Amino acid sequence: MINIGERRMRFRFILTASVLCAASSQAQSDLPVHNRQLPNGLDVIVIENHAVPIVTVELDVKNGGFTETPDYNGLSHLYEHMFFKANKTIPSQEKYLERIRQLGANWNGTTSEERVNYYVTVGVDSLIPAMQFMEDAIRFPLFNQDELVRERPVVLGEFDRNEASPFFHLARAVDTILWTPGYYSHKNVIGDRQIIITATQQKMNTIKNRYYVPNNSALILSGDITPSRGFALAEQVFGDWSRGSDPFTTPAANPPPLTRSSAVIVEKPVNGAFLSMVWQGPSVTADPAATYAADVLSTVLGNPTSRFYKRLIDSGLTFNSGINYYTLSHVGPITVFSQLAPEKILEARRVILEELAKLTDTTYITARELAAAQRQLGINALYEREQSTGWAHTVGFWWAVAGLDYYRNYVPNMQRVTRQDIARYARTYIVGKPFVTGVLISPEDRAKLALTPEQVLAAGGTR
Amino acid sequence: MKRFVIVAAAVLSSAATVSSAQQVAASKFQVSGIPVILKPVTANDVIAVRLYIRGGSSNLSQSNAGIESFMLETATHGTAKYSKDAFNERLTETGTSISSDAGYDYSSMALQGVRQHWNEAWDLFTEAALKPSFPASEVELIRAQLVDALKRIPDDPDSYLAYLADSSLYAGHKYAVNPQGTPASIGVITRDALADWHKQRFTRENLLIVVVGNVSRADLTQKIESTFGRLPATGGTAVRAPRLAAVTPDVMVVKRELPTNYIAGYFAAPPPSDPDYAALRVATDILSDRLFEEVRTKRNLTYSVGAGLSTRAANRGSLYVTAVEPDTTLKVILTQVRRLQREPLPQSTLSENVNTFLTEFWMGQQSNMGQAQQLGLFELLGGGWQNLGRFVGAVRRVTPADVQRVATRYMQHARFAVIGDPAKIDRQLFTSF
Repeated sequence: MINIGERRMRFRFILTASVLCAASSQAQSDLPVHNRQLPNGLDVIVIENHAVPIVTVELDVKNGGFTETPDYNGLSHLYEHMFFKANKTIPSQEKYLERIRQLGANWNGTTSEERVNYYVTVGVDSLIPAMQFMEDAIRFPLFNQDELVRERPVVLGEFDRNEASPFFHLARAVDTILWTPGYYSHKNVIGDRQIIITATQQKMNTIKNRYYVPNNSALILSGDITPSRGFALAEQVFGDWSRGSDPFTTPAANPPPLTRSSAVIVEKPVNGAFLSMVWQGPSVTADPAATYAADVLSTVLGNPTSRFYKRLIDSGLTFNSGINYYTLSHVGPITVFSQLAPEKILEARRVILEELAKLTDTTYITARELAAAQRQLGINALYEREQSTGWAHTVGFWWAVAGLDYYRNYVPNMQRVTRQDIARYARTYIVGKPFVTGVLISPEDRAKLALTPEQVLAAGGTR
Repeated sequence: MKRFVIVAAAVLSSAATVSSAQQVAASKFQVSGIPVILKPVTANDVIAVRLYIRGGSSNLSQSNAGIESFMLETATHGTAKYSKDAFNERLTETGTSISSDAGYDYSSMALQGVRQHWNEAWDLFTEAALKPSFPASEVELIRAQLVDALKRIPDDPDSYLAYLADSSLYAGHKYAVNPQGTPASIGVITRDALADWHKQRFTRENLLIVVVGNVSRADLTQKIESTFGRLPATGGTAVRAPRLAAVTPDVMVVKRELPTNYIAGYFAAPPPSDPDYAALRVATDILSDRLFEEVRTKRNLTYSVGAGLSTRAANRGSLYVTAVEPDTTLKVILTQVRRLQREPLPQSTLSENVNTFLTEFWMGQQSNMGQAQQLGLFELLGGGWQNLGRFVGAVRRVTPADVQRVATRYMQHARFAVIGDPAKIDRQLFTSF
C-alpha cells in the first residue's frame, strides 16, 4: 500500500500530526510511550494500552521517496511489496500468507516520502511468533526472481488505481513543478513505471543493505504489553541483527527552492472544480518552530469560526476549503485546497491570497481563537490514544520524520505557539513566496471559461 | 487456538463488548420510554454517544430523498439557544465533535467528547438534536454543499462503483431511495419541510441512545429525561426494509477511459440477526483470503480484490476487483466461489479464520466510539445488543458444512457494475454467477 497518490492522503498525515500534538504540557510526561535503543542501534518503542488483548508489532524504516534517484524511483514501494514474500524461513508468499493466517494477524505495509512501515496486529498470545515472523521478513528476504517478476504487475495495478483518480493527476502535475523535475523522484513515491518493470534482485539488495539495518529502523510494540516485557522480547528477537553503515553519512538532498510562481490546469472528466495552491514549507529538522506554528494555524483556519473559513465557505464562494502543512524532514508542502464551482476559480484564488496576506498581521487570529485551537488539539490527542493500532503507525511516522523527542515535546511546544510565531511562519514560507497553483477541471468547463494558466496566475498575483 | 480461550470466556460471561482491562458489562434500560444502552468505561476520559433514529430509506420517497441527511447536517448550524458561531466556538473550546450520518436502515448523530466537558458537550448535542432553528441562509449554504457532493460521486471510481452496484441490486426495493438524496431531490426540499421532518421523526419510539464512557447511569438518566424524554411518545413510526426478493443476474457497464476496470458484484445476503449471518461472514472472510492468494498472489491479475458482507436489514454480499483483464480475472474469482461451495473446508482453515476474526473484532473495540457503533448496530439489526458478545461464539460454532451451505445458498445471482472498457466485458460470463 502506498501513502500518496492523492493530495488528501497527505491531509490524513496532517490531521494525524495535529491530533498527536495534543493534551496539556503536563500530560506529555504520562504518555505511555517508552523507548530504548538496543546495542545494534535498533530503536525499540513500547506503547502500553491494555484496553483489548491485542498487540501491534510494527517495523519502521527511514526509506521511501526521499532516498530515490530517478533510477530507483518507485523501488522503496516495490521493496515494501517484496517484504511480504519469501525469506529464509518461509519459502514463498503462499507460505507467508499461510503463516499470517495461523497467527490470526491483521497486516499491511505502507510507503511514503520518508518512511516505510510494516505491521501485524495479533492476539497477545501470538506476540512472540509475530515478532519472529517480522524479524525473518526484515532481515532475511530472498527476493526470488520469479516472485519479483510476478509482483511487478501487482504494483502496476496499484499504479493504475492511482491514475484512475483525477486527483492523482492534479497532484502529480503540481508536484513536478513544485519540487522541480530534477528532484521530483524524491517526492514521487509511486515511482516510474519503467523502473518498476525493470527492477532487479540487485537493486532490491542494494536497498536492503543500505537502509534495512537496525540503526536505521525502529521496532514498535503497541497494545497489551508492558515496557519491560517489550524491551526484553525485542532484545531476544532482534538483538543479534548486525548494525550496518549509517545510510545518511551524506544527508539526503533537499529540493531546490522554487524560484517563481506558476499555474497548471489539469483536464479530467470531473464535476465541479478543484483548486490547489502549494508552497514549499519548512523542514522539521531545520525549523521545527515553524512546524508547530503551521499545525496550529491549520487548525485555527479550519475552524468554522475563523475569518478564512467564513470568507471562503460561509460566503458560498467554495464548497470546502482548508490549509495544511505536511510535516517532512526534507521540505514539507503547504497546501491550500478548495472544492468549488468552475466559474469561481479565479475569484477564489484572489480571495485566498488576500486572506493569506493578512497572516503577517498578528491580530488576524484572535487570542481566543488561538487558545481554543490549542485546547482542541490537546483533547484530540485523547481520541488518538484510544486506538493502540493506529497510534503505533503515528508514532512510527514521527520517529522517522522528526525523531521521537519531537513527538514527545510536541504538545508543550505546540501550546507555546504565539500569534507572532504564526506571523513569522507565514512571512517565511507563504506570503510573498513563490507557489504553484493547480486547477482540476473538465475539458467542457475549461472550454466554456476559456481558462488559461496565465489567467489563473493573474487572479490575485504570483506572490 | 489456546490464546483466545480466556478472551472468549470473558466475552461470553459478560454478554457484552468487554475488554480485558474493563470487565464492566453494558446494560440496557428505558428512560422515558427511550431504549438506552450504557457501557461505563473508566479507563479513559472519552465519552462516545450515538443517537439513532430508526427508519432510513424505508421512510423516504424519491421526491424527498435525502431530507433526513439534510436535516441532520443543518442541525449544527444554529439552535434555539446558540447561533452557529456560538455553537462552533463551544465545540472547539471543549474539543467536542458532533457528526451525523443518514443510512439505509437508520440515521445517527454522534457525539465525541471528554469527561471534563461532559455537561457542555451534552448541552450542545441536545440543542442540535432537539432544537435546530434551520436558519434560511444556512439551509441554502448546506443545500449547495450537498448537491455538489452528490454531483461529484462519479469523480471517484470506487464511490461511483458502489453507487452503481447498489442502484442495480436494490432497483424496485425500498433501498432504491438513496438516503443521501439526489441533486434534484435536495434541490427542492424547503426549510419548512426540514422543520416538519424533524418534528415527525424525533419521537421517543423512534430513538435509541448508546453511550460508552465514564458516565453514571443516574447522570445519564437525568440528562435524557430532561431532554429527549420530553419528546412526543409516538408518531412517524419507522418502517423496516423487507429482505430482497429474488435477484436476477445482471451487469451494468459504464464506459470510461481508465487504466484499469473497476468491478463489483452484489448479491442478496441475510441480515446480522439471521442465524446464517455468522456462517456467511466466515465464508466471506475465507473467500476473501483465497481471492487475495489466487487472484493477486499466484496470478498477479490485480492489486485489489476481495469479498465482503454488509450489515443492512436487506443485506448484501459483494465481490470486488480492479483488473486490466476483467474476464480472465472474473473466471478465477468465480472458480474460487465454486470451490467454496463444493469442497469441504479443512478444520484448520476455520480455526485460522476464527483467530483472524478475533483480532479484527478487538481492533474494532479499541475506541469507545467503535464499541458504541457495534452495540447500536447489533441492537438495531443484529437481534439485540447482547448478540454482539455472543457473535464470537457464533463464529466459533460455524462448521465446514455450514460454510458450504451458506456459500451455495447466498453466493449467486449477483448484480455487477463495471466502470471501464465495455469491449472487455463478456456479459454472459458476468451474468452466469
